Amino acid sequence: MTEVREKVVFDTGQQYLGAVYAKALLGAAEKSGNAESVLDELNSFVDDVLAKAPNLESTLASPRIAVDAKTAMLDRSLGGKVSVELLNFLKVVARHGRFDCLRAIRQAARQQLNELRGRVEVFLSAAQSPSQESIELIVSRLKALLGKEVDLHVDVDDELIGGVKLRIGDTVYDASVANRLVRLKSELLSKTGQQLRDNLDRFALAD
Amino acid sequence: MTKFNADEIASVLQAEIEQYDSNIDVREVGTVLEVGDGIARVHGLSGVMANEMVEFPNGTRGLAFNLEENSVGLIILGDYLSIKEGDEVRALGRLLSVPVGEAVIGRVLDPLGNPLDGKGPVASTESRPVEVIAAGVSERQPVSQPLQTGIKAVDAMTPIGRGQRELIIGDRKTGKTAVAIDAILNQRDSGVKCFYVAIGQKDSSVAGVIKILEEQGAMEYTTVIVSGASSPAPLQYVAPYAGTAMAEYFMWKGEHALIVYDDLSKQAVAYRELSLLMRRPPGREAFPGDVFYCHSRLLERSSKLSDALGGGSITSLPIIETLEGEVSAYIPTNVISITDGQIYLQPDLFFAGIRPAMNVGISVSRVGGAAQVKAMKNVAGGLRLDLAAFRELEAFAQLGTDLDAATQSQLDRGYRMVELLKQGQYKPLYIVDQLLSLYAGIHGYLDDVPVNEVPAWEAAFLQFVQDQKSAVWKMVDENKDKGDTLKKADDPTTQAVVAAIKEFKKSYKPAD
Repeated sequence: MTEVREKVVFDTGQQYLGAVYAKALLGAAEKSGNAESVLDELNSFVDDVLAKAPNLESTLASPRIAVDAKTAMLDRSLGGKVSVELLNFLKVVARHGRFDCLRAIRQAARQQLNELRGRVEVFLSAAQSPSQESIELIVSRLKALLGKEVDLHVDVDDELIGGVKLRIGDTVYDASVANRLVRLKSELLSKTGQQLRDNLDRFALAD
Repeated sequence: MTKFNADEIASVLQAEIEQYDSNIDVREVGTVLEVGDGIARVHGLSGVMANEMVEFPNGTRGLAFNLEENSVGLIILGDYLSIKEGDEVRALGRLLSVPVGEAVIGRVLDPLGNPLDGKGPVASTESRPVEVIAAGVSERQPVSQPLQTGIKAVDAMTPIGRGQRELIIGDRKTGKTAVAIDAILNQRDSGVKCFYVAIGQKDSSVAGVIKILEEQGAMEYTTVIVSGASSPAPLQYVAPYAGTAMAEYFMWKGEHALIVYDDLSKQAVAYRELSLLMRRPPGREAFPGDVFYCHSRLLERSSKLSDALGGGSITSLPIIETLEGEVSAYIPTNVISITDGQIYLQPDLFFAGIRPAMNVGISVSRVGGAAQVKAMKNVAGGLRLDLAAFRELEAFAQLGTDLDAATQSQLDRGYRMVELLKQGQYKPLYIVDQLLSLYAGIHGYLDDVPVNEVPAWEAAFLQFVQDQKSAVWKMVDENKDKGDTLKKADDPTTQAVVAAIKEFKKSYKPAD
């Protein structure tokens, strides 16, 4: 399973722009009826090409390179290998000097496509890598509960100690051992402290 | 020192662990984008509501302050230096609240109700939200009961009623805090719970105030809420609301509370700092547009509840510091218009030795007259106007022209009244003592006493009444709320007081 969640997209300006470009990309791709494949190509372009060739990304994002050179570069490297929609889209992005927003565009496009298809993105963190059966079980349960298709992303985080943590949108359902221990600690501290204050004699050692 | 029995504690812990029932922890979260100067900007928290409390990973609390399209602006109530970009913030789904009840009395707390006095945790089971909407019109009644400050000038000329908001305004070093502290000290036997909210002040000044309150035995009924100059702006902004929440507990119980906000200028500055950091548009003097609402919603919570609700009250004494006597600046005009009157303290009077340095001409109390003790109204009803007229006359007399006898006697009376209204710090006077000395002054029994001997005469007279005329003292005390007391010469109380004054004057020998 690919790590598709952007860890650091914190620039709200980029996010805003990303949403605008993503809407345009999906609109064009939906017209030709291949939104999913275009999005897969975009994912592959970002993860397989740009991630391995950071020079290419900085070149395409650089304002010092002429727009014509960028489009020619895209034509030469991607022409015939990707769909026309994606190639044209990348050219538009390059022409407007927004290549730095490409990751934000990808994330927004994924969210918008999910909304369009009635899918929900769910992020699952577990202490150990869950088996295929348990993933299927989780997905089927979530489908029944949410009444929507589930796009599950699994992440292994050994700081959880045990149990799982689900994140749907901005809501986290935390059933991890680490979280239970933290809550148990605060509860024990407050309750024992209260009992100590209420009845000090019980805890005092007789001299 | 007590030694603890580890086995006993272990058994409690074991019992708690056995009972521990952990449900799945469901929380709404966001991610910190940027943090600094007491504020944070957060991505996520899409369901958070305005003023909802949030929690950072290090346990620090915050409040949702700005809800924007792509992010949420939080104010951080505490240590913001250990919060980092990328930290998870969780919404707590409730409003900021503080511990309230008898347990907070006698304590020194921060605006979140955490103890600062080293006397252990606040043993309180109840709490109240910091921000609440003030009582509505049907829940209130007009101010009708006096709140004695123990300061002659205030109780005689700008009387304060329970549920009133009386502003104390003046330049730095004019005795603003002293007036408020004297009012707190005078509540010793009145059953009024006092709250002193120190906002943006030097910690040394606050320590001085706490020391005085302790020495004078006032901490038995007083809570001090401190958010000093070194506290972050969010805590300074929240402090007055937190103090009011603690006072409201007593008001809704049918008791009376007095709250001093020292001072609201610094709170407004803290609010301005937050608003500018949150990029809210600045207005006049760079204050945000809602700084008026910030103060009006706070002071509106001071009220006198109807008898059906127990008749409790909160009286507030907000303090505003002016620069070079500039009362027409933004914050002073705002708070003057919100409050029910102001006590204006002036530096030139202060340095001329007239303390409290109250400018009688522009100090007013808009509702307190209805709540003034009847006898005081009868004695000092015309005093404010007389003194204002005296000030004018005094300026005229400085031109050196010859004055007729009537004007001269009015001047002489004025000098003595000014002298009589001087009062030492931390020496609040009981209402009967105030009545006796003001009656003597206003009715001319001091006209033949040299001006510089007036304070000594007053002290000796009050001592004389205490020692030898306790029947007269009691008589005034019993009749002070009756309509005609000390009004006309043929009133029996008046006759007794006049007789006492005359008797004292015969025996009085000024000490050299």
